[in-house]
Amino acid sequence: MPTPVSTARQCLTDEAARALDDAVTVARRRSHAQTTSLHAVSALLSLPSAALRDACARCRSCSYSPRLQFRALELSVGVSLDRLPTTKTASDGGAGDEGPPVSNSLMAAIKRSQANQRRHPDSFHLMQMMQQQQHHQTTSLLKVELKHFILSILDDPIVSRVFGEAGFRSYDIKLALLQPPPPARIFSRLTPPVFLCNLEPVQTGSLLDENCRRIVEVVTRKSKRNPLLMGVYAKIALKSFIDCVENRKGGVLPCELNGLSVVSVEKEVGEFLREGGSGGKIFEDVGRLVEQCSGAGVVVCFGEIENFVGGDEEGVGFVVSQLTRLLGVHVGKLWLVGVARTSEAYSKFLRLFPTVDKDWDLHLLTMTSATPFMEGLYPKSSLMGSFVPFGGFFSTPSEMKNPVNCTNATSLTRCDACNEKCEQEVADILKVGPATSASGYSTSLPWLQKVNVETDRGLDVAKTNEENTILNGKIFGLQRKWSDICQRLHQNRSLPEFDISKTRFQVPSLEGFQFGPGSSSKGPLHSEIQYSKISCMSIESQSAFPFKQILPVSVPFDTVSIADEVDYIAKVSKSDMQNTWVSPSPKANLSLLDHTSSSSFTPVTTDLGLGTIYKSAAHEPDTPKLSDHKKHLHNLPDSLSSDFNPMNESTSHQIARSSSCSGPNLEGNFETVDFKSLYHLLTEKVGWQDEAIYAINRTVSRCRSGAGKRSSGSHVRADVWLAFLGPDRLGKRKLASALAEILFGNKQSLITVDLSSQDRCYSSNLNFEFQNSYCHDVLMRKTVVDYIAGELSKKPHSVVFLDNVDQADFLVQNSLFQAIRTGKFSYSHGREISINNAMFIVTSSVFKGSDCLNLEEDPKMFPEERILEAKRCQMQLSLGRSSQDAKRSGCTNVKVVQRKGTSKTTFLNKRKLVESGDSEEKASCKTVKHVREAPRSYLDLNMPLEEVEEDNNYNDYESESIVENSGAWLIDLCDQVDEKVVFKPFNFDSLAEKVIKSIDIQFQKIFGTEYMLEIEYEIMTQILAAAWLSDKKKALEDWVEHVLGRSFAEAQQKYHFAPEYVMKLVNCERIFLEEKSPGVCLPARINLN
Amino acid sequence: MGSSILDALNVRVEGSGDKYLVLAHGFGTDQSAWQRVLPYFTRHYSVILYDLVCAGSVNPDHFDYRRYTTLDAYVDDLLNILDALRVTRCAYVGHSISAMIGMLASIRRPDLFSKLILIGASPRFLNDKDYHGGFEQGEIEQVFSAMEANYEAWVNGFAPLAVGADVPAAVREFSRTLFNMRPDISLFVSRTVFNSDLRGILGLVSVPCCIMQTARDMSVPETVAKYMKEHIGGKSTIQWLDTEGHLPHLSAPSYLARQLEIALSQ
Repeated sequence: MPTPVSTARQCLTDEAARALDDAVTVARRRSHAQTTSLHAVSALLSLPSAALRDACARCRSCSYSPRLQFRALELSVGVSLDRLPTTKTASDGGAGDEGPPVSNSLMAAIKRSQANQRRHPDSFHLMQMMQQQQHHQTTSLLKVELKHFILSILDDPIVSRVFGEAGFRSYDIKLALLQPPPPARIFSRLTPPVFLCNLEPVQTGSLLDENCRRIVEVVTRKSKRNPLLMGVYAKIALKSFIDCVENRKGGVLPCELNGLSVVSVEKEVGEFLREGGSGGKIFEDVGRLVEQCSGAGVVVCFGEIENFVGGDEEGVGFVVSQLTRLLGVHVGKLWLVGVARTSEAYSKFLRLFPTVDKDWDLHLLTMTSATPFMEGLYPKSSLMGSFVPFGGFFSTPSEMKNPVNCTNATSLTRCDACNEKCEQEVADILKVGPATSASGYSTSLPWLQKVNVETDRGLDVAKTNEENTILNGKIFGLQRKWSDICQRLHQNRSLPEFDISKTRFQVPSLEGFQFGPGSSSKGPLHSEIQYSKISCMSIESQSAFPFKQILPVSVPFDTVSIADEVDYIAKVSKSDMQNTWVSPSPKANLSLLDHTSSSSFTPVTTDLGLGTIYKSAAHEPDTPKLSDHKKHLHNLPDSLSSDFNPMNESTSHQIARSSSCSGPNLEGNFETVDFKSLYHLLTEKVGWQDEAIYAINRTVSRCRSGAGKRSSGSHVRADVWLAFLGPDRLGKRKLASALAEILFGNKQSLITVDLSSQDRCYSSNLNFEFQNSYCHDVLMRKTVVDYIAGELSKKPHSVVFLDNVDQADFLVQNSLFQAIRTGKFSYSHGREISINNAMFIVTSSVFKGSDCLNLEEDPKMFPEERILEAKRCQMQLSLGRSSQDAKRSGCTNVKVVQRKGTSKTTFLNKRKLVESGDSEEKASCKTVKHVREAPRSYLDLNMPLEEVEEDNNYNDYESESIVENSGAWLIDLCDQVDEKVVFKPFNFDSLAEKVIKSIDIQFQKIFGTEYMLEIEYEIMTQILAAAWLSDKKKALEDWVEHVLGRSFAEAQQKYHFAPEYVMKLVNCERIFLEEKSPGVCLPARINLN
Repeated sequence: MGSSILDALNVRVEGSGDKYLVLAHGFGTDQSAWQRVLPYFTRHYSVILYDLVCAGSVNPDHFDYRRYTTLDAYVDDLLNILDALRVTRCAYVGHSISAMIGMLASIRRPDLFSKLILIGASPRFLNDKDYHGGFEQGEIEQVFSAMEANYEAWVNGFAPLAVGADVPAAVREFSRTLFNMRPDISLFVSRTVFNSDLRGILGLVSVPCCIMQTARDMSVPETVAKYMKEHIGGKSTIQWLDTEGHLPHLSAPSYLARQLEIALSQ
């Protein structure tokens, strides 16, 4: 039988009664039938100076973030309140306006506290005194103090459970309540009254807004005490200051300014400056005023500086001198204050009166903000009113983004304690059934809303399939809630604990949480039986594995789910779900999920840990999906400890293995590759670098046999480091790709990063860049190390190919050094990834190694740099006069002609590079980009000179940094690699000869011997580049024969030759290649005009 | 906060260089936003990182609703930190609100700053007669009411817009730090920012400035950068960044780091 509120109030002191009233208000607001201890707790927590909150703050565990814990407390109080039944009629019975009567449990708490208080030694003599004084009062009407009231409320099992859910222990709080707070704290941060309503005024009487406060601060100073307010808001600030001084608002001014008064001469000065007259009177008046002033003094406001400039200079001069005089006469009793809207006006003023800032002792104050008192711009946020301040915000992302969540998936992410509580709640729900749920909850928590909605539905369609569904949905909701709470609270748990909890809780989560379908339906029954069978199977097979192998399954995912912030929950729980769902047919999954699942959900049956099951169960291996998971893992924030990585590494290992059913040559191959065949395979790809290949071959075999440079004793490291030095970028790239293919099974095992392109936008029309696989964009947005680590985690068995390592920034440098020394590649946030199965190849064409030959031979006709710059252009055959500087090649009819200006630009560039070294203005990036949009090799003299220059400036800076970077560290790095492989330059000249010969054959076949063919130098480099890049052996010969030969024939029919003309093969400057010939990067047809 | 300001605002000094560099984060982020940029500078600088009092990583109790009504309170914090660290001269990189703070701080203590690098800075976000700040008062009020109504929804909508570039990681990171801010503080700070107007005092900034402006910054139109260059009192340059969005340090960290290096070396 509930007690009326008025009766309960009689037992309480005023303070405690007020708390009870608050509790009643809470109960009424929520339309609850009775006022319980929970309402009291809620009310107590929201009091501005709550002893309870203070106690909580003092006893909270240090291992949790205070905010999180308080949020959790708010949450759990709110949730518990939401679960109380509501009544339609707010005040029933004879309670009248009093509100919901006090529940038995709360009344019992009050009674208990009375008894307590009587026993308590502190209050003993007080009570005796009271008894002596007020004999007529019975002891039963002893007024309960707030402290004891709280103490006994905490004894209430519901309340202690609510606190327990938030990680507080009631007895800790009680202890804290009884003990006075420690007098002094070492860290001020440990006093966290966290709730919003706590932000009540602390400073007394500080009705000053921020701008005024600053003005007053200046005014009270000894020197530079005359404020000049500047900025858009200066006038408003001044007005508010004047108001403040004139109205004497609540003693806002410090005591030394008592009796301060303000006089504004702005209007008078303005009139004087406009109309002339006797200005002296104004200042005499002011002087008299100051003399009469009994208080601290007078602030003279001279108004806007703008009035002083641009007007009658003589008048202004007079005003300024008068003000200066006043200041001098009334030292300490007179202040000047003025405003300037813009700094321009002020500097003009200063130009007119250079010493005025000293004479007037001005202090500039910037006024850049409107303050609330001026404009009323800051209405009190509605967010500040409610007890659960973030009422609407607690919906978790997993709720938002991933409406489907399977039972065991969520349970796996919880810790022991939370799981238990969750189970308990689920059991409650199952016991009570849908009957208890009532509509009209005013809940702010989305999951509960969901449950409510679904329960309502459940009432309609009782005892059908859907009922089960709904209950399951409810259970999901609860479990999600608990996962959420767990994640908020128990983040700091260490890994091993989670390990255990997971392995232990897999069973109950599967068996306990599935709501049995009973005998009502067959469909779900079927699938569920299947489901639990499978899960049992998985558990069995898991336990059959040695522990080590289970570890990687459980640990990484748990770790992830603990460590992440709310944002990531969705993804993680999804991957959890995918990983733990093992089923022989996806359909079974679907039928189970049908009712709740959105179409976006696809049952992916992959299981990281259960390799064997995975193989038998899945229809197709799903490697990309797996790598997706890995990616999620690595996108997570840095709260993971680095311990995570070794395990992670072994997981990746497993991924590789389990996916090996698709690609048979993934893992084992590395060992089994026959190194003689390696040599042959490599030579096949890059025939011209046999010495380099020999060196690579030797090193790889040596490292594989455990005799690598960094293997010492028992510690064998499987990573191989090579440095490819010297020219021939293509050869290096081709060899790296070949190594990836041979050692790791496919070409995708190559992670390529061109470090020189980090901030260079390549024109994609360059012939050489055409094959570049990775996206420049990616590198701009991620740091290089993150990119490498991300790729490595996806495919740990890879060749990491770092082109132009000499241009690496020092992040990459550090990571590389660490990797080569420790076998761990570190990336953002100090995390590391093992590189034990990777091969690192760094290249540099700048740095040539110490033992390298002098490669500076005679200048070549076709140096590599020019070939690299070749772009993919459309070609054109035309007729024209023969050029002067054509260079006949051998005894053929083909000449290679230097394009006009090309050779000069090269020199020009060099000269400018030198010149612009000390140029002051560095190019803005925009311009540089603009230049780059044009193809780079097209450096024509027709181009605007400025832009070329700027481009060079930019490069100049880069080359500086190269010099700086590629010094000692690269030598250092190269000393540590397993082998420095020096490449020979590719002999383009001889290739050119061959090409020209074959073109000549074609040409003469059609035109005979008396005509000449002139090939532009650009075209030649393009052809050479294509030949160099082509993988097919005969591709170029085919192209010459078919494409070029056909065009010659067409040209012969179309053009009418005269002896003074020559045939010219030129490029169409701005038309880039669209249609390319098969197998080689050259046009499929050649234009004729 | 007093002497414990270094604790309260999580001040960190990273690196061993003899020159000081302050990396100050903007609205909606905390010092972790610099995480990927920071390593580029630890070799040559002692990098000072701190959280603005409104950041989610700072105890919200430190946020005094009366004090932080103007940017000057933030300026006080910055100067207090620098004084507490006994910094006598430093280069300053400020993003968004911190760019404003940096300018105000340099007005008060010009000798303290050798250079200001202002990323995504704007003296005034609201449009005016002859000034295009990018926002209308009405729009802002809508934003505020959206923030008030459902902060999370607002965060989820705002973060991708602010990041601009299609970098999911940056969006996630920004959403995280933005959501970490207590909604009421977040709202309060945005009001402060939008009610601030530095146009009148740009001329007082005498420290050399480098304004870094990205393409398609939703908060700062390009005209603003030009306006600032014209009006800043000291020597100022604009560095057009070849990336998109308001948060280049999240969306293109390595690129930004290089640009900062260049700007700092000038």
